[in-house]
Amino acid sequence: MGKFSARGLKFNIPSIVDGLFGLPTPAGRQRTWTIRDNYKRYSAAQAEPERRALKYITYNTTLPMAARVQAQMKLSGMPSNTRMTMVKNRCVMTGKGRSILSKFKMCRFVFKEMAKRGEIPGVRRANW
Amino acid sequence: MSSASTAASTVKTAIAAVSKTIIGGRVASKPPAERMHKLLKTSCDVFETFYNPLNYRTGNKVLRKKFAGPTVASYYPQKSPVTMGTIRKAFPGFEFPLPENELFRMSMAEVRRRRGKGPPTKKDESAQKSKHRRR
Repeated sequence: MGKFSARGLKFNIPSIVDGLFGLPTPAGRQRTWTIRDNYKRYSAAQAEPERRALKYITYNTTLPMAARVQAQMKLSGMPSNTRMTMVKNRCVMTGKGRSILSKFKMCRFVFKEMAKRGEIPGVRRANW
Repeated sequence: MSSASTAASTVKTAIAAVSKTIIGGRVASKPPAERMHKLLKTSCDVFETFYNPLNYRTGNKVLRKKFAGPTVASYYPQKSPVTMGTIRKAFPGFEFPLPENELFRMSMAEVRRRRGKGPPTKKDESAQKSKHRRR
């Protein structure tokens, strides 16, 4: 971020791009898989327009066959981390990969505990 | 049996009548295919869409899809660049209140030190250097 000064005070805010792969570190508990998934997400987002264009060329039957094959070859030759399917929803709090409530980005246990404490707005224990 | 068959036939005739008439009571006939194609072409020109009467696979559905990248990349919340340390440094004269369990932690550390379970003392660097020299 850099150096800042306000009202005569000087302070230094460190860069948030301090994590692995030159990406901002995800907040919360650090797990290897969380960091890896974060990297996959960034690379998939970065390569999305290129992948989309190549896919369009391969699917288009009005274009010459050679161009379509070439596009397909290039698409299959791209790194696997640029695929959207490699991205996995993980728990933001614990990094758990199973039983995720994707609406809340949490695993079931963390969700239950937080909901119990009333920390998730609009969620409360059902009672009837 | 006979009553059911008559009912079915009346429904059939009614459907035929409805399909033939348009609002206003006039009998409508389907315009020829050529005219329909012309209409489609003008509509494509007006709304700037791709005129594709022979239904070629153009892959436009790939382009029509929304980009998911921004939402996918911003899944994990980012760590705040401002920490308690930066705030402490920004206000050097101010005394910040201690965290909740800080006093307890300090007392436990003191107990551990008295039992000889504290952190080890740092080795003297000059002594180490002399050791290396002897070798």
